[in-house]
Amino acid sequence: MVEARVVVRTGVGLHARPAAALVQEAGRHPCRVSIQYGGKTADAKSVLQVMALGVKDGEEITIRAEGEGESEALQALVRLFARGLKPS
Amino acid sequence: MAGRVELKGLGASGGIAIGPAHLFRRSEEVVRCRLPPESLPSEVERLQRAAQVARQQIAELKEKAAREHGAEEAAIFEAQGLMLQDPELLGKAERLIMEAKCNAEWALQRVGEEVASSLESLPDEYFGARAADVRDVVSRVLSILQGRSGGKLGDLPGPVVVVGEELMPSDTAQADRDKLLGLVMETGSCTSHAAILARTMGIPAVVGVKGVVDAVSPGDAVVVDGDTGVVVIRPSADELGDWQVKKEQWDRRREQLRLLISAAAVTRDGHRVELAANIGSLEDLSSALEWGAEGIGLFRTEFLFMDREVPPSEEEQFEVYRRAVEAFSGRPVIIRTLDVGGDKPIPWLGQLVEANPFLGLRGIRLCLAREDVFLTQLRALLRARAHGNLWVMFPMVADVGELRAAKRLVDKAKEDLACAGVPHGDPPVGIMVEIPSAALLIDHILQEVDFVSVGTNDLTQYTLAVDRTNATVSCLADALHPAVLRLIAEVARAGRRCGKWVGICGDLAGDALATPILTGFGVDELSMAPRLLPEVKEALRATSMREAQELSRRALACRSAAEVRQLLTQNRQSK
Repeated sequence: MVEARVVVRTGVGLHARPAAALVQEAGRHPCRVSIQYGGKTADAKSVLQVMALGVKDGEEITIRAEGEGESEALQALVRLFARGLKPS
Repeated sequence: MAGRVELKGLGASGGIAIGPAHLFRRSEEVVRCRLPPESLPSEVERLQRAAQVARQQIAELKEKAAREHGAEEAAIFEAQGLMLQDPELLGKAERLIMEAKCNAEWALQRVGEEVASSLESLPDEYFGARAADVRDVVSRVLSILQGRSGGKLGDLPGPVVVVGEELMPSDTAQADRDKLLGLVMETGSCTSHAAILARTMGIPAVVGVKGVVDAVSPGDAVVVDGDTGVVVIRPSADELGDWQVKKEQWDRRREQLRLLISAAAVTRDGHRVELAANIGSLEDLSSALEWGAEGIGLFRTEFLFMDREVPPSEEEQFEVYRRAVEAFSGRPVIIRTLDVGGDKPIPWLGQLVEANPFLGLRGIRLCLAREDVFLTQLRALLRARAHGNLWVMFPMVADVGELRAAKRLVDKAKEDLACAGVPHGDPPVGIMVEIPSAALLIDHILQEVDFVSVGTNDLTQYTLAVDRTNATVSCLADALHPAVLRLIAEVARAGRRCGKWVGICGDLAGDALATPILTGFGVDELSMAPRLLPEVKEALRATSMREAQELSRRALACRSAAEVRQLLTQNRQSK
């Protein structure tokens, strides 16, 4: 299991478009990916769970990947957050 | 028939609409049926098939939205498509069918409602709006399951005011402009789909009007005031007449402003002031052209540098600058070099944390400290100059020392390009006057630049010692303060004396109240957010140069911002 903490900087928090970008990237990897925020955990492959966390802009979250290709997945997601969740 | 009812909501899109109400209902009764265990697997399949059809429809809507409304609107359908693949929705509904031995409609609606309410319970209004997306997706699948086509805005009976609970993106994507007079929504906020649609289409809308669906019957006369948020149902004949007059005034005003787009930017006595646009990305170019900008007075380049891990290449920047100057074929496009500081940190720049970033390493100071980044931008700018009328402007210059250092780097960039045999041009070079020292030493500065443009926002904050991002004091940051006006007047006077071009590109340039005095100071250009252009042009065309000069003299003699404001308001009312 690998994890990283990132700050959400999209201008609007983790809602529809950024959440969709996160879910799409997570879906490309075979491992389980989750994000933790405010004591809650969401499956990063479920756009509804991710949105239900209600992460606001500027807040910190933890990304956790577990299973096959976990470090690639984590790296890709950290890069995605660094881009403000914009597609590359 | 019931009497007059007045309700209040949030004005989401300006203007007045008057017309018969059309109730837009989408919620169809869904009943729970018990199914025999052997038919449950086929019920799950029925749900999956319907979801598949819905996904197809959403993909089509996404294409249509991308073509007609842009990427922002298309992204909504992108997210909706993902919701339909989400185990949280369909997976749970499928399990519920099996466990509760019920029909697909009931299972889906129940799960969808749970998900939507959990999103709604989040404090942020943006997530509340996403609950509407979930309900939209659910309702689409329900329509397919029940074999009915949704009651969309595409087939309205005639010109009507649409009254409903809430609009879904899929409803609005097919809206018919000719038949949609106005919108009144029971729920929603200024960021909801109905609000966005109304603003895009330019129709009046009020959202968050509690009780409206119960208060109105189909065909009732409804008045919608999208500026104040007032909705009047079944007004008296007299009142309706008053609203009609108001509506005509509003429409005339909008038409007047629209006509001004192609009118000349001159005073009554023929004195010309260039009216240009401030933009912050290439996407803004089209609105600058649409609102009649004569050029770009300030192109902020920060967007190129933020939200990325490595700085933009010379080639990438060149493409952006080239496209901007080509869009304005020959008219000036003033591009400001990178203007960031500790308040907007850029990870790859590795800035230090500063106690007071507004007085720290920002603007030209940062660029001079990071020659590599600055030279790349300068080379891209010089190359783009070969394709159009590009001017280069340095931000946050305090005196000629920094100006000379920056100009030396322009020369170095030119040499580099010349050595490499890359085509480039020789742009006019100027500074943004936003530090009081630059305004006070403007005579020296003007001898070494081709032009200057006054950045009134920072000039105000530095002159009045007010942090404009600090809510407790930001109300003191009034650019109409006579201390700020005297600095602007001095810069304009010095510019005229030595025949150098002086523009204004801060928020003050877009304030129609200030147009006469800025004109009176004798500036060459005013640059503002594109949609403010018609109103400023109107104020310019209403004044004469003599009046403007007289008014500016009186403003400069005022003791406070409040006095200036009073003077200018009286002047406007006397028109």
